[in-house]
Amino acid sequence: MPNATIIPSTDEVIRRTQRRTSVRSSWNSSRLILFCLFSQLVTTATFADLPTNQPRSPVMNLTNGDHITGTLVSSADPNSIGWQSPAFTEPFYFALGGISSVHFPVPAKLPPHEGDYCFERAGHDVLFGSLLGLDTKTVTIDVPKIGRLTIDRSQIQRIYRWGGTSSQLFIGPSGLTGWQTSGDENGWREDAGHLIADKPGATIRREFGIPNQARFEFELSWTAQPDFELALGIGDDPKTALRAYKFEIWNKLVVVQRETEKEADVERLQAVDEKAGRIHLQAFLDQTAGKILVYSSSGEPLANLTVLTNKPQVFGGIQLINRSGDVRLESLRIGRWNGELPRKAELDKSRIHGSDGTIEYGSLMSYDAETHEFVVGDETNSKRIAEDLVHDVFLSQAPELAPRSLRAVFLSGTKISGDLVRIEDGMAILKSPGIQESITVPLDQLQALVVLAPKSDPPELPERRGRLETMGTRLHGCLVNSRNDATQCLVWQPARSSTASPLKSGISAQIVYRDPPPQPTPQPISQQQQQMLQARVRVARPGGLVGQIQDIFMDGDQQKAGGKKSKKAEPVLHLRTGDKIPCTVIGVDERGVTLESNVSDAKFVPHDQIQALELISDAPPVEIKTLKKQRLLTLPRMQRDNPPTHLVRSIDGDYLRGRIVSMDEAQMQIELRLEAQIVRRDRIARIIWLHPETTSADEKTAEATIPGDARRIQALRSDGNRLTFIPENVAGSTLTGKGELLGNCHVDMKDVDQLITGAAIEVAAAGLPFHDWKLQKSADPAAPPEGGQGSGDGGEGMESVLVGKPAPEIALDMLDGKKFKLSDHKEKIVVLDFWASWCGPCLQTMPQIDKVAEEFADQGVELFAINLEESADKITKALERLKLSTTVVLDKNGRIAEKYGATAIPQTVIIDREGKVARLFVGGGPRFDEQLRAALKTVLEGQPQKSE
Amino acid sequence: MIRISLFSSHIFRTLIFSVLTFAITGSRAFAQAPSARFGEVVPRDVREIYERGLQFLVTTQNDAGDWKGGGEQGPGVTGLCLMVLLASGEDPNFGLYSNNVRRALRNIISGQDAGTGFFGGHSGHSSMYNHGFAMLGLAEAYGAVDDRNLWTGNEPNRRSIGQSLELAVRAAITSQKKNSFGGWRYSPDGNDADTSVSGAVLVGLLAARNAGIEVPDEAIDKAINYFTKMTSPSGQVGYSGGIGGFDESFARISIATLVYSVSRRKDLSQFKATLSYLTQRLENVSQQSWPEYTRYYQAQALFQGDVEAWEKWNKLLVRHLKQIQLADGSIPGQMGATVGTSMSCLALALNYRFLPIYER
Repeated sequence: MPNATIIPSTDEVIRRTQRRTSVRSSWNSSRLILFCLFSQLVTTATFADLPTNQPRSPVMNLTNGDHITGTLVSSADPNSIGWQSPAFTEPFYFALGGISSVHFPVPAKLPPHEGDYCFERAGHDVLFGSLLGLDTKTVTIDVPKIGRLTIDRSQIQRIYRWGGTSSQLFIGPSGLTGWQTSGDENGWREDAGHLIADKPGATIRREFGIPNQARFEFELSWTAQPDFELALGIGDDPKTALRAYKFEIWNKLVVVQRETEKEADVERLQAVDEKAGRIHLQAFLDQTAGKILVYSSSGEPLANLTVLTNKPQVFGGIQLINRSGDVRLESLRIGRWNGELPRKAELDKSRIHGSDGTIEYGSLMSYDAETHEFVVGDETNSKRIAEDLVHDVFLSQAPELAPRSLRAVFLSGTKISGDLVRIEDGMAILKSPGIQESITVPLDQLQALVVLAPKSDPPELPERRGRLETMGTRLHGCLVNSRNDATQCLVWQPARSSTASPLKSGISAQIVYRDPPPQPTPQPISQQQQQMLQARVRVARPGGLVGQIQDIFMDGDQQKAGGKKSKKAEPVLHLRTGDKIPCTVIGVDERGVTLESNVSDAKFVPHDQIQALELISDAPPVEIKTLKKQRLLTLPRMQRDNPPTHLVRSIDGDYLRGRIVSMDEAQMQIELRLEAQIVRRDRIARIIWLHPETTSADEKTAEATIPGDARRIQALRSDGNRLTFIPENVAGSTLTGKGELLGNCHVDMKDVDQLITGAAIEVAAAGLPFHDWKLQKSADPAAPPEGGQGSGDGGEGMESVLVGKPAPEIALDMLDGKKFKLSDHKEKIVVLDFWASWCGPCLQTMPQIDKVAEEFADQGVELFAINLEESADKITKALERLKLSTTVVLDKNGRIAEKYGATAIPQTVIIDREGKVARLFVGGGPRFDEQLRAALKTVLEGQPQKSE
Repeated sequence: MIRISLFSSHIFRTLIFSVLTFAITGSRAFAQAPSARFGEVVPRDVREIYERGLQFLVTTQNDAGDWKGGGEQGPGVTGLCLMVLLASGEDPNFGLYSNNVRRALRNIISGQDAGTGFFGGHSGHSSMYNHGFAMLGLAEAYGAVDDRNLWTGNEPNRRSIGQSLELAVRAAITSQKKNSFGGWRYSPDGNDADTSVSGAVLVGLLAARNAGIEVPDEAIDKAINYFTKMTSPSGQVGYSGGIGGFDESFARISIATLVYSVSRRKDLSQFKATLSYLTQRLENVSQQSWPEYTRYYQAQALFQGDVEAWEKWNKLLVRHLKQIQLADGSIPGQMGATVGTSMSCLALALNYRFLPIYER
């Protein structure tokens, strides 16, 4: 990402400058030039709309980093949450102390906050709703989707007005929805509505429609060594961020700064160190005046900057970049600013901030819901303040709340915490100290459930422990003994669950006991081997295909010697599952391979299960160039009906592709396209199978067609061998089952790196040797879409290379004997219709074109039908038949058609008033008129007729 | 659209109904080595595919003798299915399928227009395709099926096969006379021509002639002349209209090869061109549009033109049909199960060489 690297570089420049100068400085011109240079580069930044990393189904995150997709199930246990995963037959019950959160799918557009008020409750709860009443003991509110809540007044820290006549534009954040990210795709994530980034360069931005005068209040926190950049007032163009006021870290200082092409200024705000920390600031921005005022959350003035620009503009967005370390956007409020400066407040006192900036201290007695007034003072001396005049109500400093087990984060932005009572029928029932009512939380209204309860230690599990991965799920745990039912052989006990569950049959999953070692780099071929190879290639060959085959397979004593030597190694049959069977190959026929093996009961393997056969498994490695491999695996169009099914490698490294008809101890019969040939078996090093379904990338079911029982499991042993079989029982650390080819199988989990089930077997096998040998169809020649563009299903006439280019000049005779010159028709929109009377579709299309051109005639559209190489007589007769009087231009030798690339007709070309090709349609069809009409409208909109 | 240099499959699709044709050949002279004429032992795969396809057709034939509900239908399709029955090797008069044969024949003949001699298609302009393939089916049955007991009730048009065939030939020639190209188009009265419809009718006429019905040489010559004009030096064959412009249609190239062969015009340079186009590109059994139509003609063209090339291609055909044949025995195609199955079976039937049209 260009911006990820360039922006820090830019800032390095600024920082270096700043370290030398004092906190206030002005830029000199050389720095400005440098800056402009960077600005240019930054413009290529791209943003992707979120949510990109939103789950599509609910996900539970566990404290050990595991996660599991599924749904909540009803449970009356206040200390655990029941969870049904689609991959398992039974639910798991996870102790609260083992869960960190449950995230629910979030719609692309979040519902708006509801109610007139926002209530900040102690312990970071935020409730949007209506204020029903307030007295010295309680606050009564109505929260949509929850209902009426009576809350201990001492827990409410702050009440502020929202919506209606309020000046608030945004209160959040509530997750990533609505934000755009760039940089690392997973650079930003959300946690209980907060936005978190810990990857360098991670950037979010959002357009809020910020007015010229706006107030911001934000809280940012970090765990160590922050380095971020928050820009206020930016536009779609990333360059605007460079000219905006920014809060950023300069050398362990939070500063606010702005630099324009004209001037620059900066002010320090707060020192930071290497530890966790936070800032809570208010900013008042006037974009046209180039002015920013920064205050602490309590109203303490911190900075007052004015940096002018030549072209003051108002931008409505903000952007936050995490340059390094981590940053968490905890809160952000944006509102209109009336230009009044905030006043310093005494934080420890309860008070009411009026919308005019005044602060009224004194105790708040009550709220009169009928008159919509707040009553301040005491019983003897009270004052009423209309709610319209109130901006913010601060109540007394709230005490810390008692520990609660869960926080529910609603889609609407409300966050409420409490202790879990039970989960039933899609509802979570919470009870919260200080709230009189039970809190009924509809799960379908939630973004997340965040567990606040302290982490607990998981119970000890038996060996061998591993990690199960499937379908958006990762669960550490272990296999426990099978149940009686054979379909419930693989029973998984997650580390954090009180129960175990059988894995569903046929699920694609893997259990990883030991991660694979890093891939070894292939041994490069030695120089000596290379020279030997080249020498062989230089041997003169008899002509023709047969000659080449003889050369490859039946040549030379030296090669024979190689063959003999290699015979010592036992052949290995590679199955498509990745299993390897050392064996003696008896023969190959049209059904498959007949073999004898010490390690397997299998006597016969059908073709569709085989990936390769190494007849001489220690044949010297031969380098194969990418291009050559590509060529070997390219299937020409002519051969699509007769694709080769095998690639045969000779002991010298030559390849031959064809269809093996049979093979016995002495020779192989192979069909090379349609010619049958015989090859001596002792010349063959290996055979790779080319499976038909892998030839067509367009067949979606390609992977699914690989044969195999859905119940299969594959054990990847520590020695690299794979064993695929149907599992039957797990007892202790032993897994037993029956293989289709291998017979009875026993696996001790101690010897296994991975267990793989379902389609994951093929996925895992795809990375093995020989498995990347797949035929690729050669590209089809480009052709107009089937049925022509005129069939009403697509083409907008923009596909031709001629579109946008000057229309080739035309100077031809017309049917009526006059001359036609295209350049005489500038300032008109010219429609050319290439046609001939023998062309049925042309005759079908012509009346439509004629009619559409007539409709647009008063807007300066002219139609000329260019006839291809026909006599005047034929043309006249055709026009008579069609009852048309279209102006016909005679392209007697087809030169103009050639210039316009008319290799197929009808071809209709629209030329705009500047003489450029605006549209080019090949083909007609019954609804071509609609297409042409739409195209002409668009062209005309771009170039309306000049009034005379 | 019409491609100037390419034939458009779009047109083909929109306009055509069931594209079909057979190659009839009629000479009964024994000119080749016995293996070319009689073939070797028919491979097991061929027998199995053919038998399963045949059973599909036998079980889907209506009481009225025709085939409906499997895509394209009409007397042309009935004619094709009739040929599959005849090519099975069963005795057409007393064998397993003799009733099916008679039902199909009665259906074709009773649907013939008594005034014009046309076998009416079920859908407007497709009638000359129907006419061609129905005529071909009758010609193959003529002389092989004893029609003295063909009619049992009061069906309309109770003609003999010979009478019906004569009438059909006259209708085809009348239509050709109205056509300035010397060929045929969908409508009997069409003045345009295309090589696909013309192939269907011409092969029908050639089969009738070989069966002993009088067909004027002039009609055959005119039609062959049309084909030679539509054949490019490269061997590609145009579709319709009067100018050059050829794309690669194995079906049309095969049709031309076949009509040159069956009309005994292997002397033509156009024959050599079309045949060599095919033999140089043998690995094609399914790629093109209308695969069943293509393979139906390709089989006969190669068989008539170069029996060794046919043998190679035939292996590929058998392998391919084995893959695509469905459990019910039908062989899917772009024109439905009936046409897909019947044309594919007829492409295979060259292995049996039972039909007169397969004689070399």
